[in-house]
Amino acid sequence: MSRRPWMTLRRPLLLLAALLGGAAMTLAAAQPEGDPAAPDQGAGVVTGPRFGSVDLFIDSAETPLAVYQLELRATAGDIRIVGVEGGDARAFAEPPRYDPAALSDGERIILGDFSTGADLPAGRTRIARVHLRIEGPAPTLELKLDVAGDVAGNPIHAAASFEASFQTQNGSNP
Amino acid sequence: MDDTVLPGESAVLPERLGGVQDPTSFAGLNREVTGTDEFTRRLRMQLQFGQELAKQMSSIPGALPSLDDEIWIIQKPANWDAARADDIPGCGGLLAGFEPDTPRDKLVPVPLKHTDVRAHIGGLIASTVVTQQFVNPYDAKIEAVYVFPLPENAAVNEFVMTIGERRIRGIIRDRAEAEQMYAEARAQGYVASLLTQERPNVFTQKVANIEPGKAIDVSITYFHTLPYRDGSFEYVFPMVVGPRFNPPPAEGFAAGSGIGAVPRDASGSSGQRTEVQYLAPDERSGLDVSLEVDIDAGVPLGEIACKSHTVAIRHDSGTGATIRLARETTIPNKDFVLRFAVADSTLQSGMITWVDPESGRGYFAMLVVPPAELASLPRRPMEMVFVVDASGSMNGAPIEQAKAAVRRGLRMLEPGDTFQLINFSESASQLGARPVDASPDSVRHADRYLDKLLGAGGTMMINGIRASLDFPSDGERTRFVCFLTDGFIGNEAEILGEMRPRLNGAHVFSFGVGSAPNRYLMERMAKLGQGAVAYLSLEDDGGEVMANFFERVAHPALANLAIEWPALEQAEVYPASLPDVYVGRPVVITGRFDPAKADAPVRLTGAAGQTDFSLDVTNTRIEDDALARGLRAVWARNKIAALMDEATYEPNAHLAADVKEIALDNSLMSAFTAFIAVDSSRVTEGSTGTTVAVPVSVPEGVKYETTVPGGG
Repeated sequence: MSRRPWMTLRRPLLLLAALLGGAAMTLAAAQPEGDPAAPDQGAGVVTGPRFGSVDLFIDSAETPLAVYQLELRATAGDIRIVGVEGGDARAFAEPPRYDPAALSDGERIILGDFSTGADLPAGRTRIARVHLRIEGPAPTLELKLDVAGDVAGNPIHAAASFEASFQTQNGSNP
Repeated sequence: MDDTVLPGESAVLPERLGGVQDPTSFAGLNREVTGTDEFTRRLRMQLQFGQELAKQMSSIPGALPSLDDEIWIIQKPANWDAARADDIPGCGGLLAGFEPDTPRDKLVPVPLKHTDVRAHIGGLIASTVVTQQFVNPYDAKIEAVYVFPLPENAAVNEFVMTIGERRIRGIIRDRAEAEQMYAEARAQGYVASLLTQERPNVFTQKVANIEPGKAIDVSITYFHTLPYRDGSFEYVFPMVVGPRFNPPPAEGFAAGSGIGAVPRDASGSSGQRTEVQYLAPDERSGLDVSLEVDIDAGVPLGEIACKSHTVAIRHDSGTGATIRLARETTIPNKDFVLRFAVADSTLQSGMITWVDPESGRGYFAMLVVPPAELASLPRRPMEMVFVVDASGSMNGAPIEQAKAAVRRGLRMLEPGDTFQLINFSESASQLGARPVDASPDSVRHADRYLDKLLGAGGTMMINGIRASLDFPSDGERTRFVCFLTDGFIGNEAEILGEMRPRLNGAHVFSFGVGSAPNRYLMERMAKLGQGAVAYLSLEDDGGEVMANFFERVAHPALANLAIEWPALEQAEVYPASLPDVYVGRPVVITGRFDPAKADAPVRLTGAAGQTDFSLDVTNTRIEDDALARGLRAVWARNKIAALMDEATYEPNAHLAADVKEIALDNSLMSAFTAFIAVDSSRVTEGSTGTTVAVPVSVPEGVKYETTVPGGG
């Protein structure tokens, strides 16, 4: 397996992004519909500072996934990112790189990684876990897949989704 | 190709010993091991039981004591619960045993078992990954706190916490915010780690909620440029923070902002927010260090030498080599200093450039080599001021090194030169009312003065600064002020702030004395005083180091340096005030440029005395790889350093905001940012646990009794 650091990947990622153009997928709507009236101050709901994680998945169907770039942010609620972990597939087991400039530009995180190894994942794969500090009402999270590509650098059709280990406003399970 | 076998690779090593520089190292593995030191004792154990088995045992958390470890008699303190309730750093209770071979040494278990260092040097840039292996040797949950050094110019831009197979990348954040998050995570039972910067060369690592028997690794990656000193590039990895003296703060400086030195388990006794706990002379911890440096010089390599440690060297090619600490059980109590030369003909002024594909910005690092003609120019008469630190931390070998250097310097003065000799500890005193002619009589008088210096008392360095700079220059001579000190003070900012307004054209040269000097202070003093820095380790010949210094100042420096390059972003060049360049002392400059104009020729101009110089500089564009990325980090780190330096003499109300913006954009550690990593997947059981500091040995050659208050 051959892997390269995030910053060196920006060029292929940016190329891919350009290829994809406006086809970038915003996946907040892809989440299962949650209870819109999810409790935010109700009995038994913790609203003080607390911690939880969000698992990020990419489903590339039959095509092995070699490169991706994702953006996770809260459209409502107060989250702070406190760690980034790798995923289940060997190709993406190392924690992905993040763009520090994006992090300081509001609380969002842009993650990206690529692998040219032979053990690329296909189908639905957990490719990263993001550790969060949450304060106040349950947040609403939005995940956007900027880029997904195959080993040749060609854009591929893929879908991203997330599962949170804490209560969110858009339906993730605690 | 030299294929030297390194320790740990085979239980029985053939006699291929090329590159091993010390006969006491592992050279004797295939014959009977003799000796009583720690290393040979461990080797006997490993050879008896088999290295492989030892490795396997040590890799199982909570297993029987590893054959790689000491056999400890563990004594639980009777008041463990009470100690835990106190929740005071360093109150982890005494769990100590006695080793039969060395009955005087009490073995103190600490929550940091090992530090592993992997460095890669490519041309001017070095990247280093430091992995600290924390373990909890106690039967209750702990928070580990470790105060440790890194190079003063380290651009720390990556932080990863490893729990078992899981690796969590830390996030760079505003320091106060990160500290708050860490405290919350710790209180709620999550495994978390926090890296903060106390000084540019002193950091604190905290790891919360380490469960009994569990291990957590923390890896830190940093970049820096390599200095070139006296014929060699130099790679330094500092291993211990020397015990600092903290004078009462001057007006405008906050109390408790120093770095305290306290005996083990005497947390809070220094009154400083940051404290280093030191082991007593009869105590030892199991903490050790392994280190490997991989050099890819890109040009033919010359001599590779390491005086500080026993190393094994493997020459991979004519331009590359791998250097390892020969002893994997090295005690981290002194700086690792590796020097390597390149073929003389290949050392010339040049620059490497890289364009960041993300931002489109160009970054460069330039090596400015003084022109050969400089060495033929005569110097002006000099007024030489030697300032010797005679405080308690210099007692013994360090002050003898300093005295030897000064004695040599006195004998290299020429007719027409004058000199002054000043020493300081609690107060400063000097040889005479004013500088004296460098006559044989006055040199003998100075010798007798030096004889009386022993090293005692605190380090009131400000008194030394004032005494050495607060008298009028005679106008006919160039004033050189040489500070010979270990720099073991906690008020660096005050010192630098006192220096600048007093310089009046004096050139300051700092000589870092001892096995682990405060390199941040040494470098900044020399930079501020348009001088240069040199180091006198305990292994160096003090006279030789001083002779090299005189060779540098025996010719005028190349001053008023300027870079002529249309692509240059002048405001983004660091150091902002380009340094004077002395014979034998090339300097490194970093900056940003406009890639659209990068092909224009690059020229350096300057003057030495009445002679103007200009140098054409070769521009080499480098590929986009990890080391190239380091250029951006190094540039950003230098920009932060420039802001921080400036603030020592010119208050800046926006300093924190300015530094944070650069640091957060570049994922860099600074005084105002910190790395945090939290594993939110699982809450550990039990209370928050006791805070346990990692006590360290005082640097080699430093006397515990005279440097650690309350430790006498």
